[in-house]
Amino acid sequence: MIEGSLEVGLQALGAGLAMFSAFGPGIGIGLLVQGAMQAIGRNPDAASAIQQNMILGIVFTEAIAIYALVVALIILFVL
Amino acid sequence: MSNLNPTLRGLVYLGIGIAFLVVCAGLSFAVLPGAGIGVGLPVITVPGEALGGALPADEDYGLGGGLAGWTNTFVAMILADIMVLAFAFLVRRSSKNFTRQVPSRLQSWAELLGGFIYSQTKNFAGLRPLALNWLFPLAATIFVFLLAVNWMKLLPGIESVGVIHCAHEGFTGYPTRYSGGSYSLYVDQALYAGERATEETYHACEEWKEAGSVKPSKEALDEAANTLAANEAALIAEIDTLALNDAERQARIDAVRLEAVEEVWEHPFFPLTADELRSGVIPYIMAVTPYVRGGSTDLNLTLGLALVAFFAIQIFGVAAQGPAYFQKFINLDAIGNAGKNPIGAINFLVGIFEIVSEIGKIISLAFRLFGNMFAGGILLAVMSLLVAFILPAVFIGLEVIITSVQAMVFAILTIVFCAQAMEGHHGEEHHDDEHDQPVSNVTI
Repeated sequence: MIEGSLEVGLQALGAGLAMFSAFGPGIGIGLLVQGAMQAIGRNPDAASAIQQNMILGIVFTEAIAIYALVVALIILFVL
Repeated sequence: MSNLNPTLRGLVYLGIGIAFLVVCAGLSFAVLPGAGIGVGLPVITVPGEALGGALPADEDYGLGGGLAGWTNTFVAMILADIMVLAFAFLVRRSSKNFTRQVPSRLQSWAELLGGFIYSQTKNFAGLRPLALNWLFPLAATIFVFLLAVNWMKLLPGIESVGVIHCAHEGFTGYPTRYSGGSYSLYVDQALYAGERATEETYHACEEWKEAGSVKPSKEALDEAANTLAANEAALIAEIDTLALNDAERQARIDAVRLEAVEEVWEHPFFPLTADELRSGVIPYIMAVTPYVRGGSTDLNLTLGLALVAFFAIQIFGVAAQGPAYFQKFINLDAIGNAGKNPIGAINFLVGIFEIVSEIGKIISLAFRLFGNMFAGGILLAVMSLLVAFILPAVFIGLEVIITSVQAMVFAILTIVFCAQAMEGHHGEEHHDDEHDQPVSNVTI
């Protein structure tokens, strides 16, 4: 027996499904940092330049997760 | 304690830590709800809330509605503007127009923030005067303004102190209590997320407000409470003989309570207990609209800033390359040379895609900042609801990092996009120059 409104339940489900897409950027950021760490390990002198580009790359990758987050927030609080 | 060995000392510290946590949990789960001031969830809405309680669809919402129509995120933006201007003014004064040899404390701060953005500008956009004289001030202003706006939402009192008004349909709210000339939410359970208001509860509450927010006299409340206490005791004695489950039992008790509350309040929503009734709890669903909410939790501010950055990118592109800048989007050269070099005509299509990605910049800049800040606010609210002490402090520390990183990212992305626009297609020679330098000279 399920109690409560179907609408709220479906909203929660939709928000959860939207956030499922965060796994892509997660892998992406992991790969990015892996590459950067290896590069720093090989050439520690270039650490600052590598870090800077790594952060930029992470920001662009993270943007995709943020889109999913915004969609989830809109489903929860606007619809 | 210094004569103990490290293991024992560690044990003592751990014990103190655990005792502290137990006290905090006791406070937030027993003491605060017992006093009726437990932690409640704030109203979570995406658009900024008007101080008068109006919804975005209402006529008096926004700047047209006067002071009551102002949204709390707008107030935050004005405050942040004032803070940035005051900071700039004070820095100029305390550093005597940056002529002092030994920098004052404020000047060191300004030089730290400005120097960071300056080195980033040099790094990405090179040493051309356009970058250093025009792009650097723009990016630094965005950075300092965003720091002020983002950090402001972490201050105590912001997003919590505000106007109490009737909860609109679909929002959650709590009963309130009037004491000492001000209203406060009455939250008597731990982990209580409030009740969802419907159209009827909103109208009941509004009717009460329009009738002058009359509070029943002490005698009337006492009388109703005494009747309720007697009725409830009789009911409990009666239903104890019946084999009812908890939900049915509670429903019957609530019915008796609601009946008693109706004696003194019109169309109440909350079935108050006798004690609550006596202490003057107001049984309508009400919610708080904070006076100030973090400015960047409103899409209007982030979208506005993103538009500023977008137009800056185009202006820098034109200033550096002249009208040729627009060849990036509509590649006339590629069409003109199509006779000689048919494959090159594909550059025209690439240009069309550039238009899409240019518009994508607005969206990604705006939503990145908005998403991070809004989610951070919700995270803090939920963590404070779970445990009122210690735990939120950890997340506030996390938020300090996230807010600064987002401010930095917005500023740096503005620099990077503007630098790309200034370089255009013929930026390769410039890159070659950079490769000749030793890498270690590049600083963050």
